Amino acid sequence: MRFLGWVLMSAAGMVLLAASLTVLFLGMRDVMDVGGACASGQTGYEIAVECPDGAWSVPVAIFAGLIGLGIHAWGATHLPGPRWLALAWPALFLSLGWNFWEYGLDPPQESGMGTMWGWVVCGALFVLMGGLPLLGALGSSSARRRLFWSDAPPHVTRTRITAAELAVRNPDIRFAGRTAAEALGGRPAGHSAPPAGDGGAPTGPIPAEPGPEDRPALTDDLERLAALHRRGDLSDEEFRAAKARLLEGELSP
Amino acid sequence: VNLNTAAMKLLVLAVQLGAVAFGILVGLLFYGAVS
Repeated sequence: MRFLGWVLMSAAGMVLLAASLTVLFLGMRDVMDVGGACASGQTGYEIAVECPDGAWSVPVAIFAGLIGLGIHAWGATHLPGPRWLALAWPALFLSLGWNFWEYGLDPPQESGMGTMWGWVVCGALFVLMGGLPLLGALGSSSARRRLFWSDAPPHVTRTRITAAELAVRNPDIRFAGRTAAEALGGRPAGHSAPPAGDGGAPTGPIPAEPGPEDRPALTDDLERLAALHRRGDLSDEEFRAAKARLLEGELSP
Repeated sequence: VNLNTAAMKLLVLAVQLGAVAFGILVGLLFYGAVS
């Protein structure tokens, strides 16, 4: 999926998550308005407190929020910039903790009850549960940078390169015991691979002429060089020096 | 396309902020409708 797709996916997940948290916040307040507990529907018991109309949406919002969180996280792992997954937990507990505090200190019931200490304790607990991770997420500049200004992860920014490009960037890299130049020189099918290691110029047939015309010129030069080396026209030292000159010349700006 | 530029990060940041604001609006409207 392309960049725009990931942006839309993470945004859609965030919309669902933010909407779910909002519904949860409002639904909780409605239930606390009737005393904090309610029931509805067909039951074998006498219902003391009927639930407010929107109360059913509270449990729905919990699952919808989790789904939104997952969608958002999936999209956001492909993007640079904000990493707000760590804020979902503080957002949940601080918003619901606010309700506990507000309703605990000032119960809305007409019974004239004073402070509801049970709710205040819940509020304190929720504020701790949400606030401490939030402090951790905002506490250091590196954490803040990660939260708002991350780089896109390597699996997104990584680009595919050909073996020839890899050989140019890392001339000393070895493929199955052969140097990059040797590997790029290739051997016609049916011939055994040269022995591993640096010892002596390997004997063997001269590789085929450079392949398709769209190959980089450097690759062709490396192939010819490797062929000369393999044929014995170039010593190891001469080959290395020539290859180094070739690569330096090609790589210099 | 280089994703790790300031412009790209700002773009994603702005989209996410917009998504949060839009989500809160959707939540308010939804709950207002069902309650």
